[in-house]
Amino acid sequence: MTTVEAQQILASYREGETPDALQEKALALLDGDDELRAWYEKEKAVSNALDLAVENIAVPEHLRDSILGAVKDQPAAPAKPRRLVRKLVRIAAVFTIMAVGLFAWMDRPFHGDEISLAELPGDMGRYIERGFFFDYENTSPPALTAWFREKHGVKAFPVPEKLAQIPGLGCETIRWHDRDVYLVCFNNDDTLVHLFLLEGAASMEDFDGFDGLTTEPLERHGVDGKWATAAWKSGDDLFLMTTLGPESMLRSFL
Amino acid sequence: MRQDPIGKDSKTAASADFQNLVDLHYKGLFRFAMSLTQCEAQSGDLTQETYLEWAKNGHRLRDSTKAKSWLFSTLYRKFLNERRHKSKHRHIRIDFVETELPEVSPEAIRKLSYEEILSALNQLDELHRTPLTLFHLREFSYKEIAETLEVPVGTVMSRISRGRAQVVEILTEAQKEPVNTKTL
Repeated sequence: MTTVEAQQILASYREGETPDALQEKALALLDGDDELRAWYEKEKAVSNALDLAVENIAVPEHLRDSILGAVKDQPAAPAKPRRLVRKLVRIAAVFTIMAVGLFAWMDRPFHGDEISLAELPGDMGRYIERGFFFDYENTSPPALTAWFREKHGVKAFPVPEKLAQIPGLGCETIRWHDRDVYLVCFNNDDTLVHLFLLEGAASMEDFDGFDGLTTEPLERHGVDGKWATAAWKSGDDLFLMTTLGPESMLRSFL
Repeated sequence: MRQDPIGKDSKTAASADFQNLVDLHYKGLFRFAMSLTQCEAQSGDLTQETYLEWAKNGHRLRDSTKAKSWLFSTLYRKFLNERRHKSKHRHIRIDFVETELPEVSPEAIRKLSYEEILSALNQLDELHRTPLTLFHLREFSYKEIAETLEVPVGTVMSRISRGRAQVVEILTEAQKEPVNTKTL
């Protein structure tokens, strides 16, 4: 471990807390390195000063009441029902699923799905805005796409060459109308770029409407309508790329 | 008319849980928002919107121990979504070794006021200010910060380290500047 590495690790260590393995190694270096120890003393002084300064950011007195007041009119998050109620709910759910399945089968179209692909950008945008956790995190785009191959049997997840050159963040599997949509997130200087893959989209009725590569926005939605989207087909699959950045940025990755 | 006791109890419990969640984190969330926006009104709105989001969707979070992380990352995403243009912050170049702190003694740092330190913190570019503030809120470990901001752990470590070095550089420069120089 070099001195610079030790400094970076020590900078993220809070004295008094149990150090992790990496921090332990860096702390051990303090004993035999006077310069590093002097640096660390200074670092601690700055760190303590910052702790106190951040703690002293004044919070408006009315904020707590405002939050509670604003949320009061919102429907409360469902609490866990009692065991008997849960059983009844499960039974009802089974019947509902059976009934829905039966009706869907009776009313099924001759081919394809009734869900329109045009709904995909809006639904995915809302999903992103709502907030989520990655299933897997890695900065390497090939590692992210490989994860889908290993975990979900995704046959191919080709990432546009220029997009693959920026760091990845993580990936997530999203359930959309009984289909899996695979998302890989990229970090373009702190502007997020999302690449979605819908495998087997060719079975959907309006798949043919997506004609080749396009950077025309499919739909603008989200905060201030600032989402830019692009979609393209690859065999039977559909790819969708979205960002809250400018459309020109999106084009630069294609 | 008699109310359904199950519905009433669960509603009361949910309300108490929510209040508890507000009490635990609203100050930290507001301070984090302040570091992002540097605007009290906007920070209040972001904090409130984050809790509204929780009221609507929080129950979907399977792991309740992730509530704190969910709240902070939701606020951060909301901020990113609402930001139209990149903030124009002063970019401080750190030459030679990135983590080298400029010459300033620990005693001199201890004598600085909160306002001076916050002012230096607010001058950092967002890339460094965000993880540094989260770290000094003392709510998260560096690994949790990486999870919240969705950046790799190594990136968080180097940004905290470099951010702190930049704070010291700003403070050192500020102390060098002449104050109220009179020309006779």
